[in-house]
Amino acid sequence: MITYSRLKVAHIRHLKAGYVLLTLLYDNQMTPPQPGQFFMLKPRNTIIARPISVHNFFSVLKKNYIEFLFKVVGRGTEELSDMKKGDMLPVWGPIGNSFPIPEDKRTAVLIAGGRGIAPLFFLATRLFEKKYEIHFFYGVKNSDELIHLLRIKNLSTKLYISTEDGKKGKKGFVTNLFQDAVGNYSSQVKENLLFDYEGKKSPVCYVCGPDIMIEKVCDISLTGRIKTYISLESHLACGTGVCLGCTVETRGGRLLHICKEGPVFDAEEFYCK
Amino acid sequence: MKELTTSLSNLNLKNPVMTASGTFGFGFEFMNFYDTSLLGAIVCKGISRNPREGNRGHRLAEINGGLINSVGLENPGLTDFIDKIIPEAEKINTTYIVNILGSDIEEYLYIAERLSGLKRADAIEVNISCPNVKSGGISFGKDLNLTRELARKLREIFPRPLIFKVSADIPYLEIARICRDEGIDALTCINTVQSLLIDVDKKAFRFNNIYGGLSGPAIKPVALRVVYQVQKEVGIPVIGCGGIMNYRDALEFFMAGASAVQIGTANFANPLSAYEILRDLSEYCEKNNIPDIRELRIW
Ligand SMILES: Cc1cc2nc3c(=O)[nH]c(=O)nc-3n(C[C@H](O)[C@H](O)[C@H](O)COP(=O)(O)OP(=O)(O)OC[C@H]3O[C@@H](n4cnc5c(N)ncnc54)[C@H](O)[C@@H]3O)c2cc1C
Ligand SMILES: Cc1cc2nc3c(=O)[nH]c(=O)nc-3n(C[C@H](O)[C@H](O)[C@H](O)COP(=O)(O)O)c2cc1C
Ligand code: FES
Repeated sequence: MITYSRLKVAHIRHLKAGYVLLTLLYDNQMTPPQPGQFFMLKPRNTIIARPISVHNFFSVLKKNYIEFLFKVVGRGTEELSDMKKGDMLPVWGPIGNSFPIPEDKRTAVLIAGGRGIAPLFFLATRLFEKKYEIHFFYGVKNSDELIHLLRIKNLSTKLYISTEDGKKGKKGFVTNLFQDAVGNYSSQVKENLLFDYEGKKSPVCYVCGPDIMIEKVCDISLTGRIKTYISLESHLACGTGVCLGCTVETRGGRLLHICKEGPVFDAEEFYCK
Repeated sequence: MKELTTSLSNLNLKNPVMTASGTFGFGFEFMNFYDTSLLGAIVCKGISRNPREGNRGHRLAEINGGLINSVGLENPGLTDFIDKIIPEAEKINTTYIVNILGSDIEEYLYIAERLSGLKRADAIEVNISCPNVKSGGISFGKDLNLTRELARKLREIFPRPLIFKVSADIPYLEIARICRDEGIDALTCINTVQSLLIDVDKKAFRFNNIYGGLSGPAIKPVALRVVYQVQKEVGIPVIGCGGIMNYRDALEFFMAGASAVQIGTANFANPLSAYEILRDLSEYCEKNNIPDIRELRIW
């Protein structure tokens, strides 16, 4: 259920490359969030709130905390990044559906591009608790954008990093890494082979990042007949299903609303096998 | 809370704070936030005869002081509205006003006729800023003969209060006179202001439809102008709407001559807005000993 509250800033950390980690003391009257869901965060001086995915949800000494990871890209995120410890932030949520987790313990493949790490990190913590095998692909432009590397490494069975500047992990795009891992059994990257189908179930993929990255990943995963879930963005005003502004267009030309039917979608709705 | 009943011709409201069409869904979506039955009235999303999918591409953009939307009147259509939404709306214990739109006179009349048999449709608000297909897409309100015909025919078939909603982009004073003469109960002033946004990097119009509608604080002075002029020149009861974000904004509209107000974009900034504005307004009236909101008028 979506409810409104004003949450207290417990902690704010300015990371590298314009990323901000905002930790708020949760209001226990609100529904606990699931991975993939998001909140509307209202900066004081903007007209409308900004949608930000839940990055983490945890408790310390019987208190619940919710964490958001965002990149400063404009006025709203700039203002949010200026919050101080103890400030109150109006929010409403949790909004939208969440990443479906299959009952059987098949391998989970998480593919994050840039700030797409935000919701996938939360998903990884949940999958880890449930003892899923996690193969994490994480790509960024500049290596200083890599967030929580150690924690992600601890959650993952296998971690693949790509940077466009080549300073960490493999130089290039995360889609190339993914392609190498999935595809081409006959190639040299044998030790990187992800999917040994023999005796195993096909994995499930979760993707979040720039549109172009999602498209390329889906092209690969859907060709491999891998169940793929994607988290999409659009411009939102209300987060409550009333402004009807948050549409995305499916492959078949249907218009779906991020805050009602999303933000997580079955990739087949949007991309061709 | 202080009682703040108000009436606009035959439209009687328990208080003068209502929601603006397209910003509050069908009213029950906000029940998680507060009891929306407290409001003076709920105006639902605009309904057309058939479902409308709305516009493709970008639909929203925030600018300094405002929001531009190009939603394109997406709605479930009259049949789904009557079968699925009205039963839910029965739970809301306040005046329920159905906003309607049409691409020709027949469409408006068809909808009004079907709504006339529905108890829950306490009143109709007629959006006349939609493009009229038969006159080449020019908005209804720009054709005064058409507007008069529409007002007259709607008055004949709909027995309960009728409100016309105007924008600042159509000849609102002439329309106000027509509405007064044809027995329309009130005028909502104003709808969004036609706007255009350009994406400089892409060297392209931001919206597929080129134009969008501006709402929020940026249009408040325009809305106040229209409210004042319509009240002064014509005298038909007015519902003020446009950029009301708090109770002091609402007070400006009452001082300009409005008998009620609608809260739109503010519902996006804070889902509790309409409730908080009502609460603060009633506190203000109590403190200042104002028995009737219409006494706030400053001229
Ligand atoms: C469901 C959802 C979850 C999100 N989760 C996160 C998250 O966890 N971390 C994070 O860093 N960001 C997230 N975003 C994106 C975030 O909402 C936008 O970056 C933010 O709204 C930008 O606001 P601004 O005022 O700073 O920038 P603006 O001044 O509004 O815009 C700056 C630039 O960003 C673009 N932009 C603005 N809003 C969006 C948007 N919603 N989608 C794509 N581009 C946009 C604008 O076109 C412009 O180019 C999410 C978006 C959605 C829809
Ligand atoms: C997203 C959005 C959708 C709207 N949809 C409708 C509509 O369907 N019918 C209508 O008459 N007005 C519609 N409006 C206009 C509002 O009802 C209101 O007249 C306008 O936004 C000005 O008020 P505000 O500044 O308080 O938002 C819409 C406005 C917005 C922002
Ligand atoms: S954000 Fe308003 S309907 Fe989705």
